Amino acid sequence: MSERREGDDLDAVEARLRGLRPRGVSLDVEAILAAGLRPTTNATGPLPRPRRLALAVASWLGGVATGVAVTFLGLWLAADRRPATADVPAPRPLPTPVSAVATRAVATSGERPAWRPASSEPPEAIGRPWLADALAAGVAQLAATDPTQLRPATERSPWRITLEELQR
Amino acid sequence: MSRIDADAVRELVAAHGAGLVLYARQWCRWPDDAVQEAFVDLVRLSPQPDRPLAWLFIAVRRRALNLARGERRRAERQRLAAEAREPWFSDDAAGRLTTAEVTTFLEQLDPLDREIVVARIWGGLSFEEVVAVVDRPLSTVHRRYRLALAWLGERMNADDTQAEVKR
Repeated sequence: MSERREGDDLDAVEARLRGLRPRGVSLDVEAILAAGLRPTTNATGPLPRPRRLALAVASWLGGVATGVAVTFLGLWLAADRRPATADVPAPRPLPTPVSAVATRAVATSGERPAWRPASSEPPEAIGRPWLADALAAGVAQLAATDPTQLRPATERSPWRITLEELQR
Repeated sequence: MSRIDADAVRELVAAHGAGLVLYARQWCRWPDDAVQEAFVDLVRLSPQPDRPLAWLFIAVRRRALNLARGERRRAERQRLAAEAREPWFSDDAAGRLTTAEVTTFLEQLDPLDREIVVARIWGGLSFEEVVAVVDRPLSTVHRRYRLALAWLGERMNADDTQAEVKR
């Protein structure tokens, strides 16, 4: 009910406002028509086809030129322009790997390198006394260990050796 | 579709010229210029718009805003002179409201509300056309129109009461 009354009130306000006439207007219709029908340089409407094509080509060329310019600008900005310093020595060339030397030797001589056969000499005889010392220390430590404290053979690592094997 | 013909332009000027001037008056001092330029644009337009009246309101708005920008650049003296404005209406059919009062009430409205009310009441646009002019959803336009009318009704009723008390 109140909505209906509110609607009636708004209708009354609307009618009252519609009763007010805006101030008179002094528009010269003939002058408007004359001005509107006069040809202008910027008249609206579609462009002729050749001009549209020329605009499309120019637009494409502009895009390409912009892309090239941006690329060159990036390259120029990224270039290393530090002055060369005379004090800094030139970097040493990397050493040639041994494998590469051997391969090159095989390639040039046609012979495979002769590997040294296994030696029966003791370690100290072939110039490795530290290996003999390490072996002796290991043997001494194993001999001093209580055999009952050792793990059973089934739990042993396959890489562990027994004292007998070592002494052999 | 070709250009609008001369008779249609004459009819639009006669029927809606005053409403368009009132619409433009919200923004600029020389609303006739804005309306005239909009009509010239309409005559030049090819093909003619589907809804010439709604198109005219949009064009008048744009022209009036452009003129207002130009006016704002002028000197302070001219701005003050502009404030001594003319009334927006010629008379009140009911004889109770003064044109200055209604002009004041309209000026106190939010600009968007005022635009909607003027386009709807004195421009004679449908709500769908007002939506196209102010570029707002239909529900928003409808709600703001009703609120603005309610606010104007309150002001006018209060004014009437004061006038009767004086008598």
